[in-house]
Amino acid sequence: MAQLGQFALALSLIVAFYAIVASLIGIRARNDKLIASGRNAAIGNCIAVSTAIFSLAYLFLTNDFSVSYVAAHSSLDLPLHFKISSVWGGQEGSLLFWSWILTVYSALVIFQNRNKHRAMMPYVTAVLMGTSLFFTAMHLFVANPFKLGGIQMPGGPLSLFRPSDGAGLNPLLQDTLMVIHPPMLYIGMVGFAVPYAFAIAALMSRQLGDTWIRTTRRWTMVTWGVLAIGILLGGNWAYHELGWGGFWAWDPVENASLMPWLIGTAYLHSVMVQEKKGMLKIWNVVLIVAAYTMSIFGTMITRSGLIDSVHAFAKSDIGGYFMAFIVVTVAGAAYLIVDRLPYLKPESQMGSIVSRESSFLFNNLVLLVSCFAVLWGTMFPVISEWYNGNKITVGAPFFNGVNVPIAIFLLFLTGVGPLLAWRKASTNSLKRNFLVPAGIALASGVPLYFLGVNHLYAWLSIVMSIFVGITIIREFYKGAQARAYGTGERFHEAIVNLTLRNTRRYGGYVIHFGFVLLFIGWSGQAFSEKIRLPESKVGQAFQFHQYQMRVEEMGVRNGPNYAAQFASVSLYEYGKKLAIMSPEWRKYGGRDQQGTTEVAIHSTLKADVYLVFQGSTDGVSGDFTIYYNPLVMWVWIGGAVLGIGTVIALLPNRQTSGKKSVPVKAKEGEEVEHAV
Amino acid sequence: MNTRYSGTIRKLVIVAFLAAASSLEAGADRLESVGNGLICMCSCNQLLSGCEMINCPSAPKMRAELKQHIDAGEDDKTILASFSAKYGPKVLSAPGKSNWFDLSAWVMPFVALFGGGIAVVIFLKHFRTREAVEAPQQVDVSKYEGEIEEELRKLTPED
Repeated sequence: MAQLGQFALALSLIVAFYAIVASLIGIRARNDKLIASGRNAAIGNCIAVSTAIFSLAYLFLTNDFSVSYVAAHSSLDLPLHFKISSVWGGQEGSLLFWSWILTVYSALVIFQNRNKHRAMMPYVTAVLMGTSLFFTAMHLFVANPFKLGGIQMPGGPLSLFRPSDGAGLNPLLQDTLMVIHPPMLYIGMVGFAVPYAFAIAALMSRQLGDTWIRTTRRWTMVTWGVLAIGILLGGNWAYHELGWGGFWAWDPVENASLMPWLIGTAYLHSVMVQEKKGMLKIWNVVLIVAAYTMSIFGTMITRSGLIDSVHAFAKSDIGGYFMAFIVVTVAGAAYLIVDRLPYLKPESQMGSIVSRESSFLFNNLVLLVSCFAVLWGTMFPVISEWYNGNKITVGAPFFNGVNVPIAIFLLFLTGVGPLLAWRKASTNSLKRNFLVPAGIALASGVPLYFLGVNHLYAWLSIVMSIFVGITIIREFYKGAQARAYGTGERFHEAIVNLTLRNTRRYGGYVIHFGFVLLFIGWSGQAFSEKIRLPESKVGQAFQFHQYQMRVEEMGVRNGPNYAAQFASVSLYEYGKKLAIMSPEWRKYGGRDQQGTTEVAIHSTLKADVYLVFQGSTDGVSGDFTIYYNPLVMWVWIGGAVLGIGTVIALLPNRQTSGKKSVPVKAKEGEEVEHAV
Repeated sequence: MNTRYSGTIRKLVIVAFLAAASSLEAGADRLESVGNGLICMCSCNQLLSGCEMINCPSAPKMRAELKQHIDAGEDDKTILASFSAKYGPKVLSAPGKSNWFDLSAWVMPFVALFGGGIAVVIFLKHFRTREAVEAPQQVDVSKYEGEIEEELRKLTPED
């Protein structure tokens, strides 16, 4: 099976190369058969890479430890679902997984648009296959997941060997969320390749209206939404698996996924200006190139050893290849943008500084500065090492200090932007839209302060969340009220129909509301507290905030591939029993030398009680750490609302009966059809 | 009698524990806040106050060292400086602000925000200037705005 995988990769290399050549020559020579052949080659490439990834999965499922990658990331006693997640649990497999998602995306988008955008699609095929070619070359020549294990003495032949068992999967990755979280991140990050390919194709074919944007809107939304959920799932994993009481540590690997998402968010907002006003054409191309580049850059920094991270894959020499690929990508895009500037002229002018389009510009500015701050902080250790030889650390205090005020400003814009009119917002409409929400938010700030919200950023964040939340609720209320008045529908029906008739707008509001909840959840972190309780004995009671806890039992239990020490701790609130919490300290076989914690969390809307057990040496006493984490559940609820909003925004608008859809007027010789 | 006294004893235990816990927390506050300025040197990349790695080779030692400094009455700056001298600048969780290079880490994002803000305003003014030159004379529609808004409210708003 390893040979089949290897053969499939070699085939992929050839087929991807052929797809590029056939597509480019086909469009130059206006040879439809050659273009179709390139298209089919791209779909064939998907089949080849699929064969490779399924071969790798088969090797894991059959415990074929003759393959180095399998031996390094699996073991006989590893449960089935973790054997599957081991496929992307290491350097080589994760790159292959990246590659596979790219080829699936490519095949889908190429097949979906096979009869559309005839001038652009061959270039789309070439760009996507160019990326695929790069990754396949990495698999074959730098990070090969099918490499057989063996020992090679200097000057001697390679002696293959097959260990009787593997080293096992990293214990921290043996968590159900790790089966879902990395694929979601990859689906999100790789997805930016599609709008990027369309942007480059639009530049190459000089079709620089909004066709490429409309065609890729859904792809971009899916990519963005899945990446957002993937990031939050990663936070949830960190929260319940790493045992430090938080969900975001500004680790370089976390930052690597956040950066393309921030730029993607800016892009999703600024494309609306192009669709509505025919403006910001250059900017949108720049943004999508930046989002795609950040995806590749993030993939690089987690794998090259450039940045120290607890989450990073093993250090390897792929960094130089990735950097070269990024340079080619950026330089190529820059050349095309400069060369096509005459095609990128705006079709209209900006309105007032107080207008919807201006608010989008400021929103873009803040998102990009936020991305820059993350990138700057992530790379600063490397810069300082270059500058003065000291690789300093840039941790959470820096990122929080810089990004929190920027994020609060962004939250403010989230409330303001959607309520401003295009072109110019009148003073009357500003008063009408903002006076009540701003008044209520500021008024609620006073009791909040006296209730103990005395941390400046947390106070600002919650007050701003109230402001934005009210503006969103008012938008729904006013729209539904008007609709109910006009159509005779009941109010709740009017809300549903209002949303379904303009899914993009109201789905967007739901997403914004999800962010309001996320900010409320994040604000709670300012009031997080913890207490360490070393050498606590069975029968001992603790008081922490309004909770009483009592250690009931300590013992040992075995899992499928680990031995665990556990503690049972009763949790009471004002004397009322809430739960029995059962944290564990696990020791896995194989590579795990230190043991891992499995925390116990009692979650309510108000706060989490988060209990870490660091094991016992004598069976009757052990070390505990208890965290009191206010409002954390709102982070996960906010994530769910964000996901629902994304799904709503992806739904096609429900048409009013009797109203026919009007074909979109072609501009600049573009084709009329729109894929969304 | 047992029942009568057990309630009292339980209350006393809770009060005693609360007192102990509050004193523990008061001491812990400084350990926590200064610990947030330091990185655990076990290569976990966590803040010293946040490293909960079992059998961590660094965190307990570093925390004990930190406690010694706090008990000796040293201020935060002195403690961080002594850790930096012992473990190297990598032990600090964020760049300092004492030299221009480290300070640039903190300042650059806000310089970017400020510079970007100016660029956006210039962009907007540039296009509005062109608009003023090229656009036909505008009709004052403010007196109709109320009616227009009312009509629009009856319809489903569009993006």
